[in-house]
Amino acid sequence: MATRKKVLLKVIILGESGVGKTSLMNQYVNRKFSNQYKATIGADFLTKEVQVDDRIVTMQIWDTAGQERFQSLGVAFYRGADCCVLVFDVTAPNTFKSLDSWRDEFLVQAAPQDPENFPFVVLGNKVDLEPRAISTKRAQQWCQSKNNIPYFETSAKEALNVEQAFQSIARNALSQQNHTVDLYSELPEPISLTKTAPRNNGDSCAC
Amino acid sequence: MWVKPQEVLIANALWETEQSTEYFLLQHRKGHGNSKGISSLLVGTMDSIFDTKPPPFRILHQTPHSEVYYLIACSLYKQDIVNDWDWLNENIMGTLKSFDKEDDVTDFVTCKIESIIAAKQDQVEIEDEDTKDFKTTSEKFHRLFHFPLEEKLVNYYSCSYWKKFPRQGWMYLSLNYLCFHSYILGNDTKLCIRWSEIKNLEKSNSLIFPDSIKITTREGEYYFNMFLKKSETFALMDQLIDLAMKRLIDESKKFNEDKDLLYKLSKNVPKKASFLKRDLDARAHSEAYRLMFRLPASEKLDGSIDCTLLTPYNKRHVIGRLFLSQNFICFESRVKSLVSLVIPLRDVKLVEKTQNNSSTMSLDKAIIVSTKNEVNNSNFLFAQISDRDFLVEKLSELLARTPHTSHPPGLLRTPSSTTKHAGDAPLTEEENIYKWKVQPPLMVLFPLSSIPEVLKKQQAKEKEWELHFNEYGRGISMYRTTEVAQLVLYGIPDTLRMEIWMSFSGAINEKATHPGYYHSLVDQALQQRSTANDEIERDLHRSLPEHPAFQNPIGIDALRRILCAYALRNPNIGYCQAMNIVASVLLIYCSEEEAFWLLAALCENLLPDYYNTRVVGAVVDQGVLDNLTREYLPSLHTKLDSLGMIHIISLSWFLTIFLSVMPYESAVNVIDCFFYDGAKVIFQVALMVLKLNQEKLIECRDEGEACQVLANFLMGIYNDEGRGAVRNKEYDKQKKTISVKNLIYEAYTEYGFLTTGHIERLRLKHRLRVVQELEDNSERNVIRSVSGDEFFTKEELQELLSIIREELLSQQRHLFYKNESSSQQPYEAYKVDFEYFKILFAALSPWGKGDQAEQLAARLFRLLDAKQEGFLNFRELVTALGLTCSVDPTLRLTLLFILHLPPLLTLFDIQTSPHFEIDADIASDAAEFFNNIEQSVALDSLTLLPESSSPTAGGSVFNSQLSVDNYSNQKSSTSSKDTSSSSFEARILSNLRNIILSKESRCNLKSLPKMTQPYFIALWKTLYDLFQTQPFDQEANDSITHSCALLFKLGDVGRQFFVKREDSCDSLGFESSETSPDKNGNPCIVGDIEWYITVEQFLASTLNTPPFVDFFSKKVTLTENIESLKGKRFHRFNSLSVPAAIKV
Ligand SMILES: Nc1nc2c(ncn2[C@@H]2O[C@H](COP(=O)(O)OP(=O)(O)OP(=O)(O)O)[C@@H](O)[C@H]2O)c(=O)[nH]1
Ligand SMILES: [Mg+2]
Repeated sequence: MATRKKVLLKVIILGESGVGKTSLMNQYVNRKFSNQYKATIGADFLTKEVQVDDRIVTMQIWDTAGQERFQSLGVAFYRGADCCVLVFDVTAPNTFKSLDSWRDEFLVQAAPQDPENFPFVVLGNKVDLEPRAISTKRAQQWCQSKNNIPYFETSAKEALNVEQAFQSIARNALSQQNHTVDLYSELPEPISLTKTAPRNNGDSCAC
Repeated sequence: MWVKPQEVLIANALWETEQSTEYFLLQHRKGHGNSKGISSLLVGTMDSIFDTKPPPFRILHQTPHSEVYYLIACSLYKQDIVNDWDWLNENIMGTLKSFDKEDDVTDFVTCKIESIIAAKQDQVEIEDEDTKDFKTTSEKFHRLFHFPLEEKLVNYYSCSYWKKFPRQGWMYLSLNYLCFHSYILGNDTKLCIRWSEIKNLEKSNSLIFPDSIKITTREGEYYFNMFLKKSETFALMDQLIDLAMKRLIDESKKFNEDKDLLYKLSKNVPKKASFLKRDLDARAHSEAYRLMFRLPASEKLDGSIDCTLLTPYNKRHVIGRLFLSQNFICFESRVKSLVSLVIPLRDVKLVEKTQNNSSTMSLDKAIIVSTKNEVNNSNFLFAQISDRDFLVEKLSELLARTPHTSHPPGLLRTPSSTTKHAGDAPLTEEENIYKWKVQPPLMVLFPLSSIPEVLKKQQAKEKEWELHFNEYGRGISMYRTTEVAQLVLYGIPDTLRMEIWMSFSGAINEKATHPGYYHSLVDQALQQRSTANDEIERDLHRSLPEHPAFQNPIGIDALRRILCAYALRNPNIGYCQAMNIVASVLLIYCSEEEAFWLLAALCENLLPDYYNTRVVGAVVDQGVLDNLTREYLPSLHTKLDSLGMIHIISLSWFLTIFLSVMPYESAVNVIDCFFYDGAKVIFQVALMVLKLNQEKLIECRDEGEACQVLANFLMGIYNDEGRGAVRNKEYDKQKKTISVKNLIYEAYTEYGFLTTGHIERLRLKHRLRVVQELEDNSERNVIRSVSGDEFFTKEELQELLSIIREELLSQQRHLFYKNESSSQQPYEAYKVDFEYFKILFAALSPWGKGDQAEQLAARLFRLLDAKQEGFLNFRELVTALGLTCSVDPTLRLTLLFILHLPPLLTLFDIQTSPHFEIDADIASDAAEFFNNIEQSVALDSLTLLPESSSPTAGGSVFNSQLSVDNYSNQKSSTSSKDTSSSSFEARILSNLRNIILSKESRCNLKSLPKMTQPYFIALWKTLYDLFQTQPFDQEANDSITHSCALLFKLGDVGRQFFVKREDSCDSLGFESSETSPDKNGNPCIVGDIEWYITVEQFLASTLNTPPFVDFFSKKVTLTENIESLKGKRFHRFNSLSVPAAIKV
């Protein structure tokens, strides 16, 4: 079966600067939290072998820079992503508000075949901190409105829910692959598909 | 020599054809040239008899089916005529093949020749600053293209433009445009391209367009050829485009003519075409000069002169050139990089002429410049200066104006910190954090344990440098030779880094001329709240956490200070991640103020535009690296390209100069070279890193693997001479790949041939592409953000956006780019004012054609200008046009109805506008009605009325004005007392707006106010007016009249029911409607027996009238109208105030 061949899952982590993308990735891959990480410039990545059900897959996690001026740069590696993780900081409302634009930008740049059903996962990070600015309910509502994106509340510092979240990410990424692999193999150049990929409108006209 | 084409009847008598092509003959007169037959002797004789003696060589033009020959060139010498002949073959022949008609060929040829002759004459005449000819041409240019006078012509050239066939004409280059005009074949060809629209400019040499200049814009490709001065033209184009791009990137770089250049002291400035052209040339020279010697941005090259420099270290006289600018004397040897020298005039103590010493030639005409600064005193001897007196004179002039280091210069830019001190902020307890003093290099405060071996190496290096200083001098004015380059290459010892970095980067000059600046900047910056400061705060602990200095408030505070100070200094950049990493490394080796000036030099001179809000510079350099890789590592490039690698890896390489990807104590060695040699070092090292990993990279299957290969390599680069070598416990365990010294050495050996000039040229090319991509990107976002409204297709929106963009650019009003507030929607960057909206409305909307178009436009504009700022953003504009062009008839008619309701339309308008010729009856009705309001208002809420309100004044103060300018004037002049009424008005407007914009407008119709008679009459007039623009049709006219009559009757019926006074205003949601009546005379509140109709009635009646339905359901597409608007563009460049399309 074609699906057996590609065991590499490509996951992109997006979100405002300082929400804890790098910390989450390192907590998951290296199981440690350190306050010695530098701000991410450009892009960075780590890999990890994971077991999903009875299959071993390699997860390639791409960490990106969060400052706004980098948002539309260096996005070459968005293409071919299997899952996109959107991170915000539950104590900083702005980081939540910008999820929309991160999601939009990702869909434009990665141009997946079926943008409606592309797997996203949302992580509300730093739940160990007080006071909270974004309630669980509010975050869930947003996720529901975007075609039921799975939502997790995590703490990279306390290693809270990180494992579970990434398990779900792996699962979602895998399902995306099972879904699309056949199509990809028919058309040798996946990029050419993207030109005709329909964009859903009406999701970006908040007044 | 070309001659004015003239007919010759007999081509062959007395002449012999040497060469011929389809259209041209090269002939010599019999009796000349080689043939010595009898007849030629005869001709020779005849010539002498008649003394006609025409030049013996000539070129004729003729078409195959014509009897007529044209003489186009003649010459006394064979070589000249052959040159002309070759020029024809090379440049003209290809062109001529493309004509269908022979007449056209002849026209073209004569025209071309005439223009060459004209150009030749020009060349002779254009001598001094803006000659008469240039002025005439400039006038012609403005006339032809309808440019305002501010659009300065830089130069003009003769050439051909290809569109189906070549058109010979003139190319005009102005500050913002490339224009072309040709006047042949009865065809007026005009072309006008904005520099900032150009995507690519190149010389091309294809078969179809030989030897031409090709221009690619967002819209298409243009070919020009047959230039007389192609390289000059090309160079100027290049320069103008670059200026335009830089302006796009950085708004503050507005072009200002530099009048100083008029008063150039130097004698040897060549005089060229226009003053502007000279200005531009001087700019280019100054820029190259600054780049070469790392001088401050304000430095302008004054002149240069050949001379020799005595180099004491080898007792030679080196031939080279001396450069002079306001604050510096510089020297560069003729032999590349043999020696160069920078002497700041502030250090100069004395300039002396030496006694002429005829015995030693090498000391002839010499001067000695003596300097003194913190590090040392020295004397420099320049000799063989041909124009020594002039130089000395000028030097003393400049020196007289130079403030000396000892007393601070008056030009000090000291931001006032006093204004901030006003007692509004409770600073008392925090104030102590503002007390600070500059820190010495952090490596002094936080020494790292180091192994004796390393220490020894460092000390050995220090020795070497000491020796070097003794021989070559110290400080900024050191003799810069390959010796010092060599030393830098091996890594500067930690203790000397600050000093060397400061001199080679030129930062020392800025620091010396701005004493106290940093201090006051910090004081001011720390007291401010700003986005940049917040962003900085977030990154302070994420900069160089591995160094103990940054695990301590001392280091963190210093880092905060320099970053915040810089953000304040340069709002174009503010704070960009990566600067924190660079700054923290600078702080380790340099004291705080030095680190600040180094950071400034880096951001402003060495890595231009790198850190600005769109990171343009770094993206440009990614393109440059891509280009270089393709050129020098072609097979690797193919691989990397397929993985999209260059773009993934290089951003961090460039933005942090490798500091974030290598261990920092290795990367500082790259920084050493970088401050010495400039940005080219980054490319050399980058290429070397790629080359060293070439084999591994080619094996990689995906970009992740490739990134891993590079990351492993880079993190393994070690520096066994760095003091910090042992800071890391894992240092020995770390996989070492290559020592940084070797890496740099190899990078220089392998790619040392890359020059700054080379990089700059590539940057220019990629800057074009990147800026256009960014523009495309932002346009795409705009389109995306409004296409959900579904008024127009994406193509239509694209077209609309592009003319608006053009308009904004031509008004020199820059796009309102995303600034700090990330909440801004993309469409808010494009705004039009009412003046331009009028024009668009007239050109694009079916409602824009009648006599009342302008009034309608004004009301529509007010309705949709949600922020009441006098601008419609792109989305609002699209809505405005969409509501009149593409929505269903019900909605359009509803809009029309709303546009005739108060407060958009007022009785005052109705009474005063000549368009509403209300008959006497209604007028008196209205007056009475108005009095009624007045009374009731007076009774209910006197306080809300301005004191002076008479009936009419009351109307005019509160009611909308036609012109938005008046409106906003009025708004700004309203006193606080009136704000309640203006906000009240704003509320009504926003209610109306919501009704028309909500998707379920039908359900909301009920909440629309009823319309009284005067307004209805106005509405009806508008309808008639609209139909006036349609072809006359009696039947339609009748049904309109019928519909009108019906509505009048309906209104009367309403009058009978109105007694019941169902309060229709409640439904609009005016909580206050009972207590504070609408002062706009909204009739639904007051007056007891009133004529009115409802919007439902209006709709029911009009939708049953076929002509209305036809008219209001016609879907109008923008594309065609925009096309014709573009055509008109030329006519309204300078007539913004008098829009051509609207009769006023
Ligand atoms: N209390 C707490 N702090 C966290 C948590 N996750 C991250 N942080 C801290 O938040 C700061 C930012 O974390 P990073 O992981 O570097 O953030 P990032 O999203 O990678 O930021 P950029 O690289 O700038 O885009 C660091 O100081 C972390 O120590 C968390 O779960 N709880
Ligand atoms: Mg990060």
